[in-house]
Amino acid sequence: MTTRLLAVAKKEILHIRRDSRTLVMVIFFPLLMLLLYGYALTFDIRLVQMALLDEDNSVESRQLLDKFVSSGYFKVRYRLSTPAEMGGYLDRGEVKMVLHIPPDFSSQLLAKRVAPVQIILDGSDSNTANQIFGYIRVIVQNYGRKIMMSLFNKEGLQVSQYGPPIDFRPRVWYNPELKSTNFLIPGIIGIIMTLITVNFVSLAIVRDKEKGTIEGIMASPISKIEYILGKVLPYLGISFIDLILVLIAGVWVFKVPFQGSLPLFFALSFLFFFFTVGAGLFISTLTSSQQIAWMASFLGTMLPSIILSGFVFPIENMPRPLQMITYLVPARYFISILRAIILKGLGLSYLVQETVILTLFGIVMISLSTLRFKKQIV
Amino acid sequence: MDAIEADRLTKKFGDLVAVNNLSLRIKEGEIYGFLGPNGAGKSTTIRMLCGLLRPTLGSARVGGFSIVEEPEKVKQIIGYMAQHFVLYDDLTVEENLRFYAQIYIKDRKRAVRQVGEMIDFFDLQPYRKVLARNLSGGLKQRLSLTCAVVHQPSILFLDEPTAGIDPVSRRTMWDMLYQLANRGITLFVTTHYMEEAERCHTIGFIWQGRLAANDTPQRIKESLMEHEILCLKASPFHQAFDILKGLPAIIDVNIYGDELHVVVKEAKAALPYIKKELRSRGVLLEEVFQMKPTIEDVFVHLSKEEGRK
Repeated sequence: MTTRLLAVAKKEILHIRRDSRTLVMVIFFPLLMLLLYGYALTFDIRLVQMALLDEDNSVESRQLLDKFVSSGYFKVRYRLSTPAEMGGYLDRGEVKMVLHIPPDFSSQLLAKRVAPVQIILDGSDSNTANQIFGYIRVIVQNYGRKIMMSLFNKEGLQVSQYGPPIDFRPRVWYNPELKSTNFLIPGIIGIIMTLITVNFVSLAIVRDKEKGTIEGIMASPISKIEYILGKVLPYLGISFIDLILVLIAGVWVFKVPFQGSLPLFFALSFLFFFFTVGAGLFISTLTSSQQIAWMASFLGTMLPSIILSGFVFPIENMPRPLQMITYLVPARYFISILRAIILKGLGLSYLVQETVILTLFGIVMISLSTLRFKKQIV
Repeated sequence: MDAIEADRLTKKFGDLVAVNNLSLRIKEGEIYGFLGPNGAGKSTTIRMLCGLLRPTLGSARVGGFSIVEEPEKVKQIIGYMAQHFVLYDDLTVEENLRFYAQIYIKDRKRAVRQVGEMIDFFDLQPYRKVLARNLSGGLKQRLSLTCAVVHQPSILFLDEPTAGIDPVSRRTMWDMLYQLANRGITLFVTTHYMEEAERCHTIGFIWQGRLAANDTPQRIKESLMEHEILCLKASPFHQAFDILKGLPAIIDVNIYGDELHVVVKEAKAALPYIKKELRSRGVLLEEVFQMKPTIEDVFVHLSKEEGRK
């Protein structure tokens, strides 16, 4: 058994070495995907461009503005002199928001009355607008509280008496900086590994079918298990190299903190590869055209695992029927395993359910495709 | 024991009957030529005999093993050279050979030794490190043949080994086939080159899935042609063809290059009649003589007969 298996594996490695496109695909494609996704896909709001209309021009109005700028999330791009100018900048998309401080801001404030401040937000990207809104609320409330306290102080009142009744000290676990890349990179690793393993395996076998070279194999006494294993093993090896590369890049370039156990990470990835290899094999039994195989592996595994795995779109927010479908997407379990290991440092005992489900998916997919794979033409 | 015994072998693809009730026996050490036009069922038959396709009905024994029950045992003792080039064109000659040797031969040392011997036997020494894609058509076929016999099979199936290669390479290919036959290998060769049929010990002619003839080339020519053939050149050529085709005394007319082969009951009786008919319609008869039927005449005749059935 091993002689034949090794002969097939050795031949496959020769193919990979001879074909520079495969080599590039193998090494650079996963890294490129990681960098592209990692940099392009971020939900963090960095510098919000804003316009300022300060009609008050007082110490207080400048203090408020200073709170905005020093938060690090806002940048004043234009200073306006009349309210009529505001619309134009928003229309052209040059600013995301306008901060309008009316003339009576400081006088109302000092008179301990409610001081009006107007914020106009560009809500066309509702997600971003929501986040900006959150930031603004915190800044304005903080400033309001501070100014009130200093006013009371001046009048000799004890501040502590009027201090906030609840001591609110939020702490964020697993991703203390709330960096969206920390959340996304494990998902990206899952997606990349799905795409390349399914693709590698299906293309490697379909290539033999497309070129007709499989006829020589079928006429020989090699068993289908020997052939399949010989084909798959080199790509499994490459998948692990890619996994390591992508992980190193994620930790090194995107500073994702790796909390968990490395052996567990590799062991569960290996388990997931059972499924992806099986899916690749399955696709190779459906078609003998490399193009169709590529399309099938893209549509059949990539799309569901991007959209329905919780990679970007939270599963909890999906309508119920769609949520049911996500249970059938193995990438969902793999990505939650990756996040648990990388960000939370959880051990196997916390991941039993996902591990069992992934194992089942792997067994079903491998058996299904091995049964479908025929060493005869008809 | 016969090397190949096929018993009412039948293969249907849906409604299409590709091979219909085909029975034949091939003796050990024989070169069996399997002829027929494209689509007649040659490749389907060969694929069934190699255990690649399951017959719908009937069965066959190849080297004593049933192709239905033990196809993997059949595969171990046969060599198969597919119709198209099915080797890896991004591997070198030697790498291709090593791959096939290791798939068939468990003992690694024996596999390597066998590759060396075969490279010498088929004169591939100068091309050992050449990528298969850079070989000429003839050399590709030679490499395919070498890969098919690298494990020393006792029966070799060749699906159109000479299709699409130049006449010199074809001749070399046949020389190699004879050498293999001399070593005692049974050869099952499909071809649609009629002149190659005469190189075989036995030939079978398949037409629309049926075995229409199965005998030595000599006996096929004698037994099936109760007619005689006149070879003639005339101008205008196509007018002559049309006239002859319409004459009731003429059984068949076929075009071979710039000659017409006219099938008649008796050449001597028909000749004056043909001359008269052509002259009366203004066709110039340049040359005419009686010829021995070739295998091709026989098969063209046979296929027309079968078509009429």
